[in-house]
Amino acid sequence: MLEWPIRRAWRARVALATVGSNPTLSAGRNKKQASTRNEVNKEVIKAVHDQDVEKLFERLGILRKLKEGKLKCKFCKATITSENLHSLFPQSGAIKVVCDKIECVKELSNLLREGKISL
Amino acid sequence: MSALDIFIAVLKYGLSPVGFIILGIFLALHYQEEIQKWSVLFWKFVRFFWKKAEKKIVSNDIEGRVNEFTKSLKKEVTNFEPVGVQVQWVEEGESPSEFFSNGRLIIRMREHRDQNKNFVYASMVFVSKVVLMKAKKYISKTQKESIDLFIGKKLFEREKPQVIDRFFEDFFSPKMESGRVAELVEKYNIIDKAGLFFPLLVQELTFLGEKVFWRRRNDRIISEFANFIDFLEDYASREIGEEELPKNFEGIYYRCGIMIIARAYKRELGDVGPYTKYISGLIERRIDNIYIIGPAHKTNVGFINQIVGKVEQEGILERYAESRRYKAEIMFGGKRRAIDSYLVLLRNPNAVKYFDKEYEKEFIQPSFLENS
Repeated sequence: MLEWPIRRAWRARVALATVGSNPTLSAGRNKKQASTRNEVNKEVIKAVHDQDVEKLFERLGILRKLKEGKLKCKFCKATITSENLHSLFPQSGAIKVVCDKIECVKELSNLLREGKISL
Repeated sequence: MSALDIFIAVLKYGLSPVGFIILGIFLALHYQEEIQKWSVLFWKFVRFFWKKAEKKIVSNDIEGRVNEFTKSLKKEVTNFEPVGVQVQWVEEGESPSEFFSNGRLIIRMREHRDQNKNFVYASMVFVSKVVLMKAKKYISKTQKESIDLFIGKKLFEREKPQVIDRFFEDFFSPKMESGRVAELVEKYNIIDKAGLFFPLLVQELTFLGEKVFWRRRNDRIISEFANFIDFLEDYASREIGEEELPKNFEGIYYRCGIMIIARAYKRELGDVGPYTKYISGLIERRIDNIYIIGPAHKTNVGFINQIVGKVEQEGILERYAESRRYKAEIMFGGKRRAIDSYLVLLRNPNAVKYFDKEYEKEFIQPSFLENS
């Protein structure tokens, strides 16, 4: 009993086995193992605060484009402003920006689910 | 009991400085998320002197609430691996190759005055990417979207009801105009009223995520999930005492049964034999999971536990995790009535987990479908 204090733990050991090269089961604990019952594995969300947006865009060399209204949303092609900016990510060597329209956030979620971009 | 309740109760009896430190450590270890939520007030005060505290307000609010929610799911869904969130700010010294490593997304966070928007947008990205990640590989886009919307709604209702308007306005209402997603969300809502969205529907999705298929996407998994949702909706809409509805779902990928233990005269007889015999019959039909449900009053719970004990003793099935009590709204004379309910999940230890080509060929034969 001491070895498996959580009743389901021995089952988890079976479920986390791998079958050939299929990654599905191994994805059971793909992050750092939680060390206590109270801890959870955490997914990192990288974020930039409004205080730092301009600095970040300057470092990326796209601040001027933002100010001149030349940055377009990856999905709907609307002009990105400091008001409607939702997120940014790299793709094919370029930086893509996304506006906060629900449809664009949905498209972004699809890319995340498909693993084309990561959190 | 919440961290605040413990804190107030202990303060009532007075505390030495050492005791105060020990209490602080205890609360920090066991109520990490709750403390993180409360710390937002502290950081709001600090912000008057230190501008960078603004970021702490934003990140602690999101982390505390989302992590508390995912942890709470662990109590409702067995074998659910809670994954929390950690907001990591882009640092000044970081190079683009570092913060964009592996095609990483950077989300913009607004000033804390607009924290409701921050919370809703960050949470929705998190839910769509992380919650039920394994099962989502197998279901359709519409099914995924509807699940995300419904789980998002539950998250905001539980953790920050004041953002519900923002969520409805930006995410929920626009999707409710599109037929299929709205239809599914409505079905989840009915299933949830009977208290079965997380402990049964999400539980079965968790089991699905643990399975491995020789073909990753399979239209049959998608259509079977749609049928399974209908099955649960019918169950959740049933009137008390209605017995005509199917009690088992016998698909290829989802194979489970619901067993209601509520009849007083059967309970008074005290004979668990017919129940164990019925369960044995279900196992012969290759049912993987049996959800035993009934009113949560003492005598009924005792009787359910007797049945479960006998089933375990005979080695027919095993109890999968702890039993749970929940509020179910059951139809009674055309109206829903809240009833304290009790649920035990029994699982077949030999449930198939790897669906190889041969297995699928064998069981996807039309003759099998006709018989099931």
